[in-house]
Amino acid sequence: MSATPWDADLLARIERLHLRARRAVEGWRHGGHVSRRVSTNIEFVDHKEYAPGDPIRHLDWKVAARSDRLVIRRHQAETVVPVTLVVDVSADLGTGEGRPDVARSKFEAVITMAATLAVFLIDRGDPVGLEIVGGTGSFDRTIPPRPRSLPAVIRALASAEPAGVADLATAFDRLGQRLPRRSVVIVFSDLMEEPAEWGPGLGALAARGVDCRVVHVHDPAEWELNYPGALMLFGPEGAEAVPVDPLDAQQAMKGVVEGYLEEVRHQLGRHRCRHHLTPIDAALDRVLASVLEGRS
Amino acid sequence: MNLIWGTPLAFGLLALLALPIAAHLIRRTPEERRAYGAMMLLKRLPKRVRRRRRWEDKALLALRALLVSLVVLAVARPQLQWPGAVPEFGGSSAVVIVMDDSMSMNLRSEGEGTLLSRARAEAIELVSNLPQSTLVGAVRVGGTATKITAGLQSDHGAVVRFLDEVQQTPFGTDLQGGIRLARQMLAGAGGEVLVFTDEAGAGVVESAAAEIALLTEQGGALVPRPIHAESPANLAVVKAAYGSGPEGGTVTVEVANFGPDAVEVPTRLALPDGTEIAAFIDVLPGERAEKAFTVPRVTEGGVGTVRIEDERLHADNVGSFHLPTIGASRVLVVEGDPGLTPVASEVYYLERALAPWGRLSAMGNGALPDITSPAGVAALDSSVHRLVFMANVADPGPWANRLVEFVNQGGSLVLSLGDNVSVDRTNAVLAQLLPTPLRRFRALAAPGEPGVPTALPDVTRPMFAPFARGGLAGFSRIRWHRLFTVEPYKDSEEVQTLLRLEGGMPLLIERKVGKGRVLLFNGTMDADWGTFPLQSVYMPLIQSMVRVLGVASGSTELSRSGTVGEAIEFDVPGSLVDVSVMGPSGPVDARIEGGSVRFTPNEAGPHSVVSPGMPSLATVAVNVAMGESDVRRHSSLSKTAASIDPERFMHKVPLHRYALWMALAMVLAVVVMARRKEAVSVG
Repeated sequence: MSATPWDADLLARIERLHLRARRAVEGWRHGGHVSRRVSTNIEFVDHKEYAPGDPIRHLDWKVAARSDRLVIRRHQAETVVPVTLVVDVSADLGTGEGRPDVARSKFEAVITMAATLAVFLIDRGDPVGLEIVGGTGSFDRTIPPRPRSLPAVIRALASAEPAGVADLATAFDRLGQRLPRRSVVIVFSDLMEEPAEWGPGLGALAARGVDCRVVHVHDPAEWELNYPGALMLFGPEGAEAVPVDPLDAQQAMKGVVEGYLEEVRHQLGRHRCRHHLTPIDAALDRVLASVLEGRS
Repeated sequence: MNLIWGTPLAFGLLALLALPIAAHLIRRTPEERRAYGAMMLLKRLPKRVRRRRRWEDKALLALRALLVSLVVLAVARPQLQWPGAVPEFGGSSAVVIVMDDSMSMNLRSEGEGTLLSRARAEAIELVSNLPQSTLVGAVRVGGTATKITAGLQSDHGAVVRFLDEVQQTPFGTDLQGGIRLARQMLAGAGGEVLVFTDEAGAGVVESAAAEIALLTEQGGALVPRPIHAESPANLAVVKAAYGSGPEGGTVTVEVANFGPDAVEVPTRLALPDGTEIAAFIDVLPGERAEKAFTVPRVTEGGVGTVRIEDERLHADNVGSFHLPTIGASRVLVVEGDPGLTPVASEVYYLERALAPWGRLSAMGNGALPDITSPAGVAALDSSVHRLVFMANVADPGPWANRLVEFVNQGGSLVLSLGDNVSVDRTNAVLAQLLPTPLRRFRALAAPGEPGVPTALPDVTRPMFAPFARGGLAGFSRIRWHRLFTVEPYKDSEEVQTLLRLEGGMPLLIERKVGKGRVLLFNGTMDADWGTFPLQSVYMPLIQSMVRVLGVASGSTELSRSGTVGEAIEFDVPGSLVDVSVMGPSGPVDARIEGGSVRFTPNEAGPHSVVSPGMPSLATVAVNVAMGESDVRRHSSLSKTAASIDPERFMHKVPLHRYALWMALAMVLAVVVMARRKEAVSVG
């Protein structure tokens, strides 16, 4: 049943997601992290009181010399760099188990990460857009980057439910045609499609000078086949159930995962995308910090 | 070896094998299902890697299948059967004990007594433990089978006493007769015949096969109770016989070793004159060995013995054999007309011809004369004398029967004539011996004339063979002035003319009578009627007569060989009433009826039939039946009986118990393995 705009349950989820994202951002900010801006070309707008985390090089030394106050010179980006969050909510994301107080599935982890990043970026004044691939629900799949898009982004993320397939290749193609040059794309996905299929799609993004960062969410238990005994594993996206005995398959699975990651890194590296391999139980602040700092 | 299935239909239950297989297959599909978000990676895994078949699974399946198979096997009640079992005593209502008391049952084992004592003890114990209602009989089979009890009886104590009195016999085994008697006791009413025997003796068991078959047909059952020594062994004298050879000939002794080890057998040969010769005979296991004992040049005839030392079975340690008198033929010379001077007597010439250098030389030459008057014929001993010279005896009437008997038994008689001979009496009393009746003496030449010469004899005849190389012409120098004429006769197989005068008148006529021979010499042995004793051929011819006639009388009807346990019968003169039989250990029970004596020897060795005041009437060299000496098992009574009634003689081993025990072990193994597998999975 699709959710209506006034669905109480949906509203509760929006509230919870927003609250969770806001708390994560606040906690992160109070933790003494450096301020992060995604743009570098700026022009003066006004002053503001210095706050810990503000870059010292933006201190207005003249004002400090005159009035013994520490103020920061605020500038407006010369060219606004929009950020587009690509969130994979395909059915595969509905699996996995993370820490109970953080997320129960990859889907929850992806949604939370995307919402938190949206709150943080919009608070900073960055225009944030959203592209949801896969999933089901009544929401806007595409939200163009805008400075005040947070409600729409939060609403869309809260409305989405994992379903269907992501079809990353098509999604990347579409984005490559649509996104403006010099924008930033942050992809949240488990990348469970053949790298050789979606890899070429990244070429369209790279051709437009898009700064591409991929948060590769995975459940270590799934990759390590860390299950107690033989079981039937079935794919939520419709794959046939397969009997597996973890004791037999774990060693071989390790090799398969390594090979797969090699392919992923190869495809991402070809198009200058940064790869952030993220287990679902990873600390949220660390994940977002690494994404914003562009550290793979 | 056969495998018999008690419930072969149970193999239908093998379909249950589908259960563990199905369980195994079903178990291969895990029950737990889980959504998995990395199916793309999982599909990259080879199928075989996703879930391998562990050896635990295969072993578990194998154990489960084995478990089901074992249960099915147990239900099918398999039974392993192979022949060769000795059936246990079944406790039927009638039992006949067949006790083998033959010679071989006297075999001794260290610390176990004889086989018979063991068999007797076992039989007594068995009878003592029978239910009071069981009828019991007993038969013994040594020699000729006889009943120990008259029939089946309920007094077990009496049967035990009878069995306790069964004594060892030196005889063979009449197993066939024993089983026949047992069968007759059961009278076709069924029952069990327990045979206590050592199964020794070739053919003994086989001979009983027909009786066993009859017993089985009549509802009876044979239960063999073999009694064997732990390591059967025995030494036996299987042959002792005199034959030609150096010196006085050889006695060949053959000893058999019926044991597993080579043995050096101490052997002692005893000649009739008491001479003993000792030697050792080496005999390989299971083999026989011969030893030739050289007999002295001069020895007395009779029955000699061979004795070996063997503690296990005594009865066959002795062998006996006939030995002829060797080195000298005792010749009884009966002087019928002593004459006025020594040279007027026939004996004067005969004695010198027989023993030209006295008695000592006579032994070497082969003739030893005993000179006697006609009355001395009564002392004629056929075991001593081989030849009798009757020289010019007027009336042989009083001793005619003795002479007839002597000749019939193989002795030889030379009858020379003379003036003293009564033609009528001689023809009358010696009609059975004379080649042809005498007529009268006839003058052939007047005094002073040379006389009628003797024709040359046929040197192919043994008696004249010594003259073939020379001296034959000497016969023509024997001239006769007077000679007895005889009734006309024709040469035949029985009567032969050995020597004639020139002109054809018979001089020496031979007649075969019974086992002996009679020579009628129509002239005198002295120089009264001719020149015979004065010629060179006299002495060699007389000695040739002794040699030829003496050898022929080497054995007589009264010298026999016999076997322990087998009856021996002799004809004896009806006039003799006090006849007895002497064996090596003393008098032997004998039955004298109507001129014959019949006895059954109980031991090996020399036996003789004697009458007081008379020389031995007969001698018997008795030996044991060799079949009993071979104490090894030749054939199995069980096998013979099993060929007739195979079902009773099968070893039967039911296997279902083992199958159930193994199934139980399989259950434990399955549980342990399943739990182990489960623990591994959880880990």
